[in-house]
Amino acid sequence: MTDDLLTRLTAADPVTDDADETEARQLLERIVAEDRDTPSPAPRRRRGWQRPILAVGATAMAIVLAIALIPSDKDAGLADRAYAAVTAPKLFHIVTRAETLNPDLDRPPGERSTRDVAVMETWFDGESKDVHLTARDPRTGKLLYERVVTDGREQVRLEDGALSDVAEFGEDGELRPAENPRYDPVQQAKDMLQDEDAREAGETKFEGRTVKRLVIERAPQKGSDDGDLPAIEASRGELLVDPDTNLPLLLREKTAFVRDGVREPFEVELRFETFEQVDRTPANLAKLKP
Amino acid sequence: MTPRDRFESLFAAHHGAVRAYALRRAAPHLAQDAVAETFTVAWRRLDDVPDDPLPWLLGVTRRTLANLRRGEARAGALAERVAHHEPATTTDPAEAVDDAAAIRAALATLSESDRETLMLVAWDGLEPADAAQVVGCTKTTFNVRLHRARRRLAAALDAAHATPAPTLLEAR
Repeated sequence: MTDDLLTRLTAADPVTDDADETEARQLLERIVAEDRDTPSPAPRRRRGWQRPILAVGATAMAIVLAIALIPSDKDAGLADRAYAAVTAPKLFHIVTRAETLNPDLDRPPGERSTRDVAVMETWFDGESKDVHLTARDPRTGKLLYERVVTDGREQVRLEDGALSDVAEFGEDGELRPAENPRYDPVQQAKDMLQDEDAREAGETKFEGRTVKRLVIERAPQKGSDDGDLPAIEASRGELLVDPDTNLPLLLREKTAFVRDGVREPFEVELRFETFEQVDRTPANLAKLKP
Repeated sequence: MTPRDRFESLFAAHHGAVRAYALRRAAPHLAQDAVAETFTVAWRRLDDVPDDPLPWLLGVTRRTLANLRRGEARAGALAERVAHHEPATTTDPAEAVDDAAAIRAALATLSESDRETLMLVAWDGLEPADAAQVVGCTKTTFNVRLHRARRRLAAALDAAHATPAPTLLEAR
């Protein structure tokens, strides 16, 4: 038996090269018989700025979930404590004040970025993974954005528009949000902590007092094949945590969007105003619905 | 070279690798659909296929499988896959069977990210730079992940030796 782990793993490959040549040939003939210009079913377009909001919201919740569990077992590692969230029976209620530098690559140079402020309120069910997020203008209370994940569907609403399905989970056949690890903040937390993309990084000063600091690094993301969604560069951020309660205080993250040679920075700062775990009362469960 | 000639050459060179990639990660019916979809995308977007096409093709397969796996847990799918395949043979079949079963059982206990990292290198035979393209990260990041995944696989094997080993299906 060889001692090299990867060599041993290679030898354990369960797939053998027994492809059916006839079947392969039939597949080839079937494909080349198609007109190359036949368009794929067009996905419903999602405005570019929705992606960072979704990504940042998910990341924030992922890390928040992990950190919120710190008091549960001081001897356990961060990843172990995040695992405990899987069975958390509670609902999470999170309110943040979000300041974002939002790029819109479809606009002309000089007009591509806007700095926006919103109050984001999130209800998240640790059991079903249902999410209800709203972003509102802090001055007028006007709804800017709403995202609902429930009953196996993800829907979004832009300002005063109607709730509509997000394309990937409808006719295009992508895994539905409730079944998709990419949209599971607990799974994301586990992956980030295991990969050490999120890790404790000592202490720092925040509003005059010493707080815990976590560093968050995220790999770059490719844009969509159809060019609708821009690529996102690798990002680096930090999460500040109250040393007494272990609850989150602030999340900052910076990255940039890139598409067709155009690059615009994206920044977000989330100040946590409320972070609480609440009971599964009918009234609280109703908050998960639009 | 006509587009059809180029595509046939691409298909002949990489169908086996794409098929094996899909079969390692999904049940046969999903793998078959993913392979067909991958090469259909390649045919329609032949002009976008890079000179070194395999990472690009596997990236398409990866996303296609994600789309197709509605309702199927990835860990379960992997355990199912490894549970229903005979291990590769070596000079000592009995020992190899034991080792292959043990290492696949240990692999099944890792996170999806760790499994994918290890499988891309050990089973799909990709260099880290190419594997990084498939999963959409930098080569440096991938190497770090590979190092950590190896460490965790070794730990899982050690743990399995220290305690009665679960069956693969129990590992699900």
